[in-house]
Amino acid sequence: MFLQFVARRLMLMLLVLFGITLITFVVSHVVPADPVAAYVGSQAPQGVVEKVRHEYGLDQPLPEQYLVYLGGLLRGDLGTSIHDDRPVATDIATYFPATFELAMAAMVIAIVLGLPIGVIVATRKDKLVDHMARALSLTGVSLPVFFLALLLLAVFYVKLGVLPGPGELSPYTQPPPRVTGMMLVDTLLAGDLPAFQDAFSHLVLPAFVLGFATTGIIVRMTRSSMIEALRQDFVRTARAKGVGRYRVVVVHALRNAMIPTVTVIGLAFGSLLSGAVLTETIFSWPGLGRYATESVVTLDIPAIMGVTIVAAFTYSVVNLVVDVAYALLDPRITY
Amino acid sequence: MAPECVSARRYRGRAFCAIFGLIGLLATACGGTGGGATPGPSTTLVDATNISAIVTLDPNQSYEDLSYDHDMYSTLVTFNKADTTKVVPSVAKTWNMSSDGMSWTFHLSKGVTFANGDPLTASDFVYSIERVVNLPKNPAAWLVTQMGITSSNVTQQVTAPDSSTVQIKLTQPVAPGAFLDIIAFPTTAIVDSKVVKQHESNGDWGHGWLDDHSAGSGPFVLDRWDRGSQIVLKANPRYDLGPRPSITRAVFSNVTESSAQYDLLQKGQADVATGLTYQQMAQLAGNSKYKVVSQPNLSLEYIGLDVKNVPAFANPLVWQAVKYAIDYKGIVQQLLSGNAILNQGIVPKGMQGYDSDLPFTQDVAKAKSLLQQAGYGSGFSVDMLVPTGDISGIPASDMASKIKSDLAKIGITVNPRQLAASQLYTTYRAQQAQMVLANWSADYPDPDDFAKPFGDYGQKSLAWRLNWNDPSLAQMVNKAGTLPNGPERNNLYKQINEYEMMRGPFVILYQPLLTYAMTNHMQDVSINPIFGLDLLSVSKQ
Repeated sequence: MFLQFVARRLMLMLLVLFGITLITFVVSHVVPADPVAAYVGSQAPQGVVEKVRHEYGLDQPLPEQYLVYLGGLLRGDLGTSIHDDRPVATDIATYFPATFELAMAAMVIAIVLGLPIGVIVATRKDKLVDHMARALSLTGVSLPVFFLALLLLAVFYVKLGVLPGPGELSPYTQPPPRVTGMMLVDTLLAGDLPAFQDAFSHLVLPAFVLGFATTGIIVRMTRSSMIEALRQDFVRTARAKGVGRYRVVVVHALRNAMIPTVTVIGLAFGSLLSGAVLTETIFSWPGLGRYATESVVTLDIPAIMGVTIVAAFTYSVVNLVVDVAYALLDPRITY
Repeated sequence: MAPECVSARRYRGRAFCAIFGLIGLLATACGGTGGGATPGPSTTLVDATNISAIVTLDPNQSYEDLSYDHDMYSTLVTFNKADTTKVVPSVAKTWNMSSDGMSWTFHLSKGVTFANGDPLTASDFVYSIERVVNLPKNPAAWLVTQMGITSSNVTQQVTAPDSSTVQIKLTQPVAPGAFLDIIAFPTTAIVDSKVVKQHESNGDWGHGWLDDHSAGSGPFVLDRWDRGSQIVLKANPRYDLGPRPSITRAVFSNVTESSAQYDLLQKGQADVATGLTYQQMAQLAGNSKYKVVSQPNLSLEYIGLDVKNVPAFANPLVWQAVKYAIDYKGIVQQLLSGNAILNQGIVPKGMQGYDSDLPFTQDVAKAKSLLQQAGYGSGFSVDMLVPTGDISGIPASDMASKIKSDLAKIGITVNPRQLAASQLYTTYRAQQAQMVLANWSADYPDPDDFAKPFGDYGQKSLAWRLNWNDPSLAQMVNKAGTLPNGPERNNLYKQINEYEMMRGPFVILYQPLLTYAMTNHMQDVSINPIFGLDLLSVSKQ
């Protein structure tokens, strides 16, 4: 049954990905602009534009271009970027690890802060700490990312000087050889502890900024489902049996309250990947968000499609993992 | 109740401990890395700049930003530091041109080597030119093919009679000045053919490899290029074409936000910043720790009027009216805070044929009467294409608003339409614009590169995009394009400039400046209008 469920979900995922390629392709071509105009620049003679357009196959009919693209995709080829003339897969492999590292760090911060705070305020409903947490969550959700980013940079970097500025490493730090593309991992692999420390401190602010909104959501979601769970009969029974408060809250209530929270975490991961665009711009983070922005500005259709497919794929996989996690959390759920 | 309270408190205590423990860990890990204002080693230069637009470092294909290739590769001839009007020897110690100007012979210095120790020979240059014209999708190839050297004839036209002689035979006349400018450009830079051939795959002429590696003989070599993050150059220990640079490591850190560049500069984590706003530069200029250095950029900001798509613009009197309606001084002094120079000709300052005449100042009454004479006294309305983002350091929309308000004074209603470059140039190149706010910068520093696009419809460039065909001007432009530098050529460009000013649909607004903000540790600063900060001469105290 379980395998059948996973297989069905994978089939659905393929369908979703196919739909996404079609929509992205159509939307990209509706824009009355020519990616070649961006590639050759504003000055190249007209003959160059026509030559390059032909070399990229952009003078072919649209359905044919789409079929060629799809054919390539089935062979695992994401096409060639019109902006930098490199395989899109190579570009994505270049930029994705930095975003992944940032999103994972943001996720860790959001979970490590959000879950305990959510649990605490649920046990202290309508007390001062609850109101404070509510204000914090609301701020997290409603504060624009770029504002928070600039604010924190101004305070912790410019004024206090306790955290470093934009970038993955200080300009004077020799970067490690690229292995995974994730700076924390690569500095560790190189055995370069000062560089690791530098990379770690560079990650703190952007990860916090990116994870702040998610922290707010997790706090609110954990709080409400915990309050719900703490009212349940089994909690009262457990207390009546004399089970310790800590065990009641963490083992009995929290585990049951986790399902909505896990759903939110799964959904949040998608928004972390997309929210990374602004954070990456302000923190000069060499990630996929920056690549995506550049692709849209230059109307680099293969790159736009590639980024969309990768984002959709990651999102689908995370949500599949979330669905599988339900069964682990709640044995009553079967597939 | 009591036991519950205790355990609940203990539980909360644990959670808070965990949170504060984590924060403590972060603080420990971050300790001391915030950075005081120490300038870093004196042999390392850090430039906080925007490198997002760099798509390749293959010199034979570079088109947008040439400074990195200029630092890593040598050319047969080069420009005299910041003066792009003078070409001086580099790899070639002497050269001569045949009397008809169709054949050039270059004699190479002996003993020049690439960074890896390979000897540089004439056949490396021949191979490099073959790459320029054969590389697929090469946006820079036209610089060479416009001289009649193409993929089908390159092996006959560009030859190496011996290891230290290069011969180039043109198939169409090219002004000697323009030819040397192109040969001084990184597009025709010399790559190590032995190394590049080793990395060829699937007929790509080694482009896949040379994209992010270097194989040149310039003062620097590529240490690493982390796309989206940084370009790092390190000194070439074998550089022997002149004095070696005192900077041995140059880091071009990709910082796109001006506020972040400003912060890094102030924190001593960048020595140079290249994208500051005028307000930020003004703040730095008042501080003795910093300096702002600028140089006229070889480019022009202009308004183009389409003479076919807008009936009113078919009348040259309306062009004149627009030219008298614009407040040039206001744009340069107020809007751009003085970060541009007034220029109304089609040749920028810093090039042969530059004309300092400024015939137009804002004269609303005169502009109105010119419109009246043209039969448009009651005005008309027109769409103006405007790029997104910044123009010369201010939002393009601010510039568009200024033009809109200037032209409103004479009854012309301008509707700015802001479009991304890919969209704007699609419309403009399809001859569909009505009015456009755009920029033209030197592909190579010769007036030919301005006179032809602005004056010759047959080039299918700017004049063509605006549907303006003036055969008599085209004739002058093409003649000037073949003359050797000298009084005759200068006079002809002066005439072309006057013709364009008085009888052309281009309103030249100003010539932008190339501006760098830096700490006072930087000495011997020289800014080349094409290649930017000269890494060979700059030093850090």
